[in-house]
Amino acid sequence: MSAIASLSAGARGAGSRLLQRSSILVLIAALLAAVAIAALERHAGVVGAADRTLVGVFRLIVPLVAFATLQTAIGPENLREAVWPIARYGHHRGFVALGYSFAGTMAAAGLSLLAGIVALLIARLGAPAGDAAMSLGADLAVTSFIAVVVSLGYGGWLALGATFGRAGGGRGIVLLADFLVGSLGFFAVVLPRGAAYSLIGREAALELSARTSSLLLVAVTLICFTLTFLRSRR
Amino acid sequence: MNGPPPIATGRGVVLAGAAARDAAGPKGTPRGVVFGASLALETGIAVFVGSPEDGTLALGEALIGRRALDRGVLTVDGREPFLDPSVRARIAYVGLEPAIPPAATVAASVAIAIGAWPSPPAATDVLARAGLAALATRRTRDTTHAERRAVEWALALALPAPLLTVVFEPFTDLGPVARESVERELDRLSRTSPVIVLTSSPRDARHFDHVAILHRGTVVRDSRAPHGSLGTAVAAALTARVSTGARALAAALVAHEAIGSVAVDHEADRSTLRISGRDREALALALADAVVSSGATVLSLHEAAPGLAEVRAQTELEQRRLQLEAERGRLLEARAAAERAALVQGWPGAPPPLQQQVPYGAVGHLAAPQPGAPNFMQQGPAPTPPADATSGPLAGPAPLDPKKDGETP
Repeated sequence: MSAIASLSAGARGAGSRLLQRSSILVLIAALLAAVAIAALERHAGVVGAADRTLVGVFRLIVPLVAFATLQTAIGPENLREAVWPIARYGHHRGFVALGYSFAGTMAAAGLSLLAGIVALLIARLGAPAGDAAMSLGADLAVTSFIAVVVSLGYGGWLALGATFGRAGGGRGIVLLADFLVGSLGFFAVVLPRGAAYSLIGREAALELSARTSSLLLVAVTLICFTLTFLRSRR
Repeated sequence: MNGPPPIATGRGVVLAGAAARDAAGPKGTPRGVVFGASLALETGIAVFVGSPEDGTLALGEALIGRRALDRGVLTVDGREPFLDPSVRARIAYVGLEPAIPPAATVAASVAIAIGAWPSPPAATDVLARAGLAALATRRTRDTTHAERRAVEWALALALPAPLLTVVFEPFTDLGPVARESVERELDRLSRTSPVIVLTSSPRDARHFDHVAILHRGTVVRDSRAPHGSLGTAVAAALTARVSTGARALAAALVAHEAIGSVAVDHEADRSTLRISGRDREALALALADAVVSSGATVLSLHEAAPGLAEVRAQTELEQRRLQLEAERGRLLEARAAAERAALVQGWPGAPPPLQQQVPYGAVGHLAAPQPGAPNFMQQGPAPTPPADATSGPLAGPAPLDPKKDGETP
């Protein structure tokens, strides 16, 4: 059986789970949270509201949205068990697991992107133009890029976490670790939170440039997906 | 994608000394395990009777490649299903808990499943072939347990050239699929490939010739004759449908000594008599006598199959009987050895008796030698033998006393 067919089968299976009411609830919650954060930051002061809003979005909304979408795509079980209803018909377990992970990650990226754009628009629209370092269009493009890259990072880590524990409880450990130590020292290099902070210009992890941080995040994400494949293939 | 190389030659399914477990218990613990299961089947149907706690689920999940064996060998067409997706693609399976791919509709779910086949047919054709065309547009999450099992059955039937078919409870909970259709299709599949049926219903198992009883993880009985044997019956029951003379027949039966009980259900045009006794043949003879004497008209007669609990009880009984036989043999050997030692000790110039290994449970009997025989196991005065010591080893060994054992030289 070809890898593409197994990957596709996994993505379709996860996609059908993502097209349920719970995903709509996640979307609504993410947008409401983005609006709330942007409104609060604007209320606190128009100057720098966009930057502070993005910090809030990447600190809270992006990780939680990634966690919720991966949870919806994989279900409340270990990823290796979750792929069985498809793998039992001859699909490769590892590629089906990757299909599940990619579908969940793409959904997370889409929702995070949407939340980031909404938050940025609310924070910046109507504000004096001189306060912002970038034009609105450039800011939207950069924010979109960061949202997608960081969501990929979360997707990789959470997919790998889902291969640990009877109910995929490794996901929770990953999320907790990201919240607690994700912006500290070495962890800021390997976990998505540190890269996100570096990319939005808040603080650089280990004095690395934003470009290096983003490349490291992509590399770590690839390693996570590879490990997910290896752990799920049997 | 190339699979792993074949590890054994031979068609069909080969299971040798397999030990496996499932993960259906609480918190992923095994609900059942199977030890030392062996089977070689190229074609035909083999039935394993038992509950998931007896290991049927563990066996089924190992056969379809869901879980790796803890020990032993399992090959399907010479390859391991756990390692080789191409083998799994050719194993048809209807599970105890149905697992069809997640999708919006049943047809979409079937389309994902058959995507691994070399030349997949249309999903609607797969469903239509099993008479499930109406399910095609149903939402998957709205289907019942039985309907999802029926979808698995449809996929099993549509699988081209299956290497193995594994079916849990083929005659139960299959939604709109008729029992006769299942029987017919299983027979068709078994002509070209092995079919393994896993059931907790002895009644269903009786339809097949090759029946194995799985009890607490081990195969305790393997019957390969028509009307598969489920164990030595501890009781027999016959059900007779009678058109006329049911009352007279019941009266005649009650008088017969082979009959333990008679129950009569009167319906509109016929009556049903359920009779039970200890011996099947005696029961049948009594019924024949009663039919002749009463002039009743019997339309049909069949023997009631035992329930799983009864099969288990029979198995336990047989195992206990075998254990007692083995224990009896050991005790007889120990007694003979004691007598030989006593004779040797009585010879002039004989060496002193050696310390002997005492079989477990034999202490009571060795401590209770035949009256008059010298007691070589204990120093001091011989204890009084128990009243039943001469009645045979099966009278039961005396309980072990640690203090006493500690004093034994």
